[in-house]
Amino acid sequence: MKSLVWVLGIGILIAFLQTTILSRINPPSIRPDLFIFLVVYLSMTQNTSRGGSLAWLLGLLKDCFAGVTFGLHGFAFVATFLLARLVVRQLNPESSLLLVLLVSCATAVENGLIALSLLMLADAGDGWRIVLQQIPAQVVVGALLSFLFLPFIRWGGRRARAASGPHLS
Amino acid sequence: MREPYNKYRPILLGLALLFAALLLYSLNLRQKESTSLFEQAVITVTSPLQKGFDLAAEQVARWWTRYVWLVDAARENEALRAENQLLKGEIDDLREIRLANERLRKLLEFKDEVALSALPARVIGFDASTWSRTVVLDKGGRSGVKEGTPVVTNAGVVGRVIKVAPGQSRVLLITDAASAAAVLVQRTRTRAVCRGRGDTLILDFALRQEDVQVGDQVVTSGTGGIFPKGLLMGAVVKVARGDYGLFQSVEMAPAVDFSRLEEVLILTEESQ
Repeated sequence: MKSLVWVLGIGILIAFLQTTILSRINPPSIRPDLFIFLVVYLSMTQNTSRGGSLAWLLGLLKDCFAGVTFGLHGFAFVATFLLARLVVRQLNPESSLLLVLLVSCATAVENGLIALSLLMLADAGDGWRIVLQQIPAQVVVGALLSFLFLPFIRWGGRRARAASGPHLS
Repeated sequence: MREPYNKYRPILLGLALLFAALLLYSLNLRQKESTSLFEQAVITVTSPLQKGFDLAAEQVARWWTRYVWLVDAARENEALRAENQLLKGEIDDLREIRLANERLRKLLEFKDEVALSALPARVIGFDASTWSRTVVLDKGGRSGVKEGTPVVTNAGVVGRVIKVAPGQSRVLLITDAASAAAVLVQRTRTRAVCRGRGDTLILDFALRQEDVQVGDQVVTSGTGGIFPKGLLMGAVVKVARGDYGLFQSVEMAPAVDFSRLEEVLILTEESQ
């Protein structure tokens, strides 16, 4: 319950940041997507059922603030969370470079999944092309920002691991 | 007996979650034009906070601009600088009021011109994603706004309402890739479909032999069922005709500057 409130609170704060302050950054392709940091953080600190549900909720929250078909980001976030979780279990989460790589890959995967969904399931014109075109810029912005957020992610990860013991499956 | 289940439990749970998420998305694809209760609740609950956040962000941006300006002014005489700061501050405030007045006056004049029942609204939020193009307005179902209602400014077409909560609504801008409108090239009456391309617009189905030139203005044709006839969409900026093919490739710049969108008119219904 506590983690639900925390994630919802931070998710709403991120949504406000993205719709008011970060939306002033032009061109839109270099606007950072802060939600993906939270999804990566969840993949490092939560188990599959709880983390997956929270990632889904975050995606639905983003859908409300993004004006896209309800459920699109929900699906993309759950899939990204599950893939990130698979990778995190094989990696050393204390390695800074791997964390930056993880955020970059998660950004690419999320955008790739959205493009694929738009192309195969939705009638969204050239939306999938726009998403694909901005993946390189988004990956670079994500990598740069993850350097800034790194201490917080690692601190949070250590704290969560210490609280829940060595096994998170 | 339970051992294999426990071993594969996380995978099964993950797959179940993924399937549920995909199912919810595909269900909502069929009901794109309706606003779910969850969306309405989130928009309604967070809207006052978002307005406050937006105002605070504007104040910070203004404070920052003035701070930078003061650093520049440090080269000047200290007394003159203090006086200048005061006067410039007042001029800035007056200019802001004058610009707001001009914008609102133009909107009111345009409201009379279009002969439609128009509801003024303010843009209170933008998009949380980097690829879709939508804005949030401070008017919603309580003011008579419905899904599909066109939104304009005195400069031209802004978009159409796609989600409605009691006090707010979300507008799909014409530059969004999912947006399409039936249009006419004003000079030659060439018919086409105008689609969004993120930051620009393109004309689909403009026949190759039709005369379309750079600078031509493009207006709504009134046949799409959403926008009334004669509203300005944008101007042609690039025309390319290949050696073969039925259609020509036409790129347009939108008439509205979406980076400076503050007040809009929601065309609720035609006046009788």
